[in-house]
Amino acid sequence: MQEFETVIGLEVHVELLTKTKMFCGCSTAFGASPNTQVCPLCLGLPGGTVPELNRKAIEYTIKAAMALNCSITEEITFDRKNYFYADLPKGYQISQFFYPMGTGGYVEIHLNGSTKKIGIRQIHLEEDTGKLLHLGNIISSPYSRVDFNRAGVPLVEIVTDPEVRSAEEARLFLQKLRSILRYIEISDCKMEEGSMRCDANISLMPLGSKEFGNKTELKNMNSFRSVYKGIEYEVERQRNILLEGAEVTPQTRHWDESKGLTKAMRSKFVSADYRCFPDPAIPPFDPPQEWLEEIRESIPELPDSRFTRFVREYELPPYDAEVLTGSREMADFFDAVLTLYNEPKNVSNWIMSEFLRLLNSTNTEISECRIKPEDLGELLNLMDKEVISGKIAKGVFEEMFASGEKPEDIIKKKGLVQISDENTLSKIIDSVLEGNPSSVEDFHSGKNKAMGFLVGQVMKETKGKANPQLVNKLLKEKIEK
Amino acid sequence: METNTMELKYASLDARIVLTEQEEKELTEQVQKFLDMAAPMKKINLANIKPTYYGFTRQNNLRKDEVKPSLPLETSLANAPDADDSCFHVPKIVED
Amino acid sequence: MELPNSSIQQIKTKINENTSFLDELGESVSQRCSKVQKKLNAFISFDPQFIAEQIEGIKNTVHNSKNLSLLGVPFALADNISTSEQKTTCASKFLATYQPPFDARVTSILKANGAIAAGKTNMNEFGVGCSGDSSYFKAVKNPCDTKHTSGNGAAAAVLTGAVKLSLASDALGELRQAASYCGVIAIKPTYGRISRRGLLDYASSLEQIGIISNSTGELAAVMETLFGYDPEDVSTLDAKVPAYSLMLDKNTNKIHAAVPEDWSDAPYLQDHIKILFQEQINKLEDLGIKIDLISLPHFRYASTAATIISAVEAFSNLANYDGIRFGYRGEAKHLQEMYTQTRSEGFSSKLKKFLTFGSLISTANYYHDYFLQSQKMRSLITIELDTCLQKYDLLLTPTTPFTAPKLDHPSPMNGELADPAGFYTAAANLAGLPALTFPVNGSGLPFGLHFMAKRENEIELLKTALLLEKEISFQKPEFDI
Ligand SMILES: [Zn+2]
Repeated sequence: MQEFETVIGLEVHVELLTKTKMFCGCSTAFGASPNTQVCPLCLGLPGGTVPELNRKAIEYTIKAAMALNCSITEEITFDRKNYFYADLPKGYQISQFFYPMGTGGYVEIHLNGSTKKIGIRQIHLEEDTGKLLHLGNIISSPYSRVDFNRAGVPLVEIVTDPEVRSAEEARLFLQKLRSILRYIEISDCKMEEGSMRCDANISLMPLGSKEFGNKTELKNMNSFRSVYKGIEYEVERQRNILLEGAEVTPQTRHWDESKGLTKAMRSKFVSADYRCFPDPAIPPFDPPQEWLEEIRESIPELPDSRFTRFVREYELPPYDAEVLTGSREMADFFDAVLTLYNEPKNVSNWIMSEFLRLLNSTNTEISECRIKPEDLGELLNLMDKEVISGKIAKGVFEEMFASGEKPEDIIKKKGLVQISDENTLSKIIDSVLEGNPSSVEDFHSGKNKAMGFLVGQVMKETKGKANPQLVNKLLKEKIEK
Repeated sequence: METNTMELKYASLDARIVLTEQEEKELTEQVQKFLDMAAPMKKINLANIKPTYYGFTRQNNLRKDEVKPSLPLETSLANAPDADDSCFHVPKIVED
Repeated sequence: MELPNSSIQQIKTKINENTSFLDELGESVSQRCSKVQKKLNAFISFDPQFIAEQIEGIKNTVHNSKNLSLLGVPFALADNISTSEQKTTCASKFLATYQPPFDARVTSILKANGAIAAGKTNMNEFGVGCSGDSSYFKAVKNPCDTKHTSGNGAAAAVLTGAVKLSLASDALGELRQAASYCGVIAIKPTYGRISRRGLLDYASSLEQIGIISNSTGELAAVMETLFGYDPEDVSTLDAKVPAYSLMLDKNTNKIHAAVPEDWSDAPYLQDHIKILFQEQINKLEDLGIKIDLISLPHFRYASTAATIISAVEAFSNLANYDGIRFGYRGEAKHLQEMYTQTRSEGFSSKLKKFLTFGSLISTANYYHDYFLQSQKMRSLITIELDTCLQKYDLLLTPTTPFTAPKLDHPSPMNGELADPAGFYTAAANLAGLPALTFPVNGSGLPFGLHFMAKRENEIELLKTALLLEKEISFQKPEFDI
């Protein structure tokens, strides 16, 4: 059977975490009631169009471009993309068509133990549109309502080179991209809330060919899962068409999550020939060199270099390092614990097992979590100093997670300090031996299991607080006497 | 350069304008006359000249990211030809 | 009192002497405007009641507004300048009932300085051109001969003394052309001198608000008030505003002016204008102004380039006129039909053609050869003018190649996309330079001399105007109201 190579280019839109819109002072806060965050400018009222560039929006876009290894344009300019649609108040969208903020960058993904670079063709800043509210679906809705709150919110569009080769690569790329953009704190990248959106240009060509096949543009994928499933489906659909000897129709297709398939979309416009030209109302801006330097310096250590550091310096397994550096908060948490308790592997184990388990089971973001890194460090110290046992520590950790209290306080309050005093333990062991003569006999007749039972009894008496090593030692001495 | 009527028709539709036959005829003539007049300018070799798209060359002042008051809802909707108490209305989006 | 003969200073003095003068003033303004409206159709909005309310307002606050620079001065704004208390129609059916929710920056400044808004003046629809034949509210008649156009209502209102000053926009020279047709002084300042916030502009990169007045001294006073940086309009100049009134009387060095050697190549140049202009050159030389004929090889393309640029910008600037948030809406069953119905019915035939032209000339087939070529021509003309004005104080031409065209008899140039009236004026818009038209007495209809000066060098224009005002016994054209 003929084999094909999949060619995917991704276009990712990300809403920036600015307080105000791209060209006016209207708030970008999510969830306001319709048309309460609009002004003459973002509503496209006559004479209301003197755009004032938001400094933060530019800064964030430059920061993203730098973090994605792009070169930055010398002159920042904006263009108008002219078309008519009900969610577009001015009749054009302001974007960076001719000179994107950044070009020629890349993102690395880790795939089957090796590293692959996905090229970033360009990254640019543009305005978001308003929102259409239909009565039922768009096709049957007798009329539609328009909310312009979102119109003019700054968006960054990131376009990859056609170097993504599978649905899995697309998913890994998106996850890495999200991680980087969250590291630099320019967007919260929530696909479900629409602050991160992804379209995919998909085509197939015979293996070894140099010429791309007809492509379709796939839209409406609202989660990482649906990006994966949508692309898988579309690749399979195209493969079947090609295997039948037919041609793929170039078109825009919609991913239907509930039905699990892609559908052709009706064209929205009479003509696709929309015009782009420089926005005559927004003169160019030259970002001063010092400002660019400031922005560059504000970029924190990014996931890739952090990953490398964790593997090299801390000798963590790559899997652990990948998980720990997946979000900046997690990696920061890890690094912070280490400043108090410098046993990386130990800390990693605790985070990978106990901490992640609790975060997942309570559906908590690390940023909302009540445990402070220094408290985890302290807990681990207390364990090492044998103030508490490992088992007790897990319980204390759960308590810390729930209440945010310090481990010392919980241990004190609940009297959980380990009993390591020989006299105290001797007395308890004596009474256990006295109360279980049959077990003592079993031991002497060679049944080693009896030893375990007796230790258990001591632990029970001490509510688990007895120092296990000490109990073992004393019990052995006494019983063998 | 000759302009044909189809080009004009598409251009008017891209501007969401329908011209009457009379208007179309007049405009075809006007455009032709204009292009004839512009022909000498078109011929000048400006390959090495940078275009100027703006009324002035640079802007130096960017806006601080601080929220300013938006319009009251009633004001935003006041001029709308069709709206309810919170949204603008547009006719059916998909053609039957 | 005779309003047309009272100066800004006299009005202020009289109010300060006795506030009851305000009633007389209000009455006089209303009557005068009424007459002018009846005879010439100069206004779109004019309401005696509104004038009376403003008079009351001034009365109540006059004790702390004595020193306001334009106290009691009646002014008019062209109907494409936003006013929150009067509708703003752009002389279009589309906006026939549109009430802006905000004041333009110039509106606020005039109000804050104690001036009285007498009304909104008639104009070509959206300020495109100066033929006087595209207003939804019918043409404005020329005060000097009602069979001819006055270009716009702003110039007619000033000449007839209905108001002391009026503001209108100037993208290809419309303001200066109308002033030339009506025999008044008008200045289009350097691009960025006056805030464009609240101006319903059709050509952002060319269009400036300009001022019309009957006297150089008063023009200077108004310029001082209106010029200046607007933090909410990034296109305003962040430069100190000179004290024009004080500088006006300072001695001037000998003025050195240039005239383009091919000035008489303008299409439709009237023979008597040719003769008149030659006579004026001689008179100016008699006044001690040195005049050289110089070569400006690309000046002749200014109007063509500016027409193309303005049409493309208008195509985009007016794309927000879609019937959704404001203005006219046509009957339609679905969205795309709504757009075409709304725009085809809401715009005049002339504007429809102009916007279609802008759409055509920005398609791929024409973009490079015409739109881009025009923007390059603009650079070339700017360099040429800047170089010329390094050497000369002024560039002198007629303002228009002809006097005010007749209203009822379509002249040969009526059917042209590039209004031949812009032959001399458009270059100042392309290059963003200040320009002033000064009325000259001939026989019959008025006609203007056109001066351009260096960027931000409006004072040179004012000094020249004052010289002409004093030396060539300056007479207002005759009119009958
Ligand atoms: Zn806004």
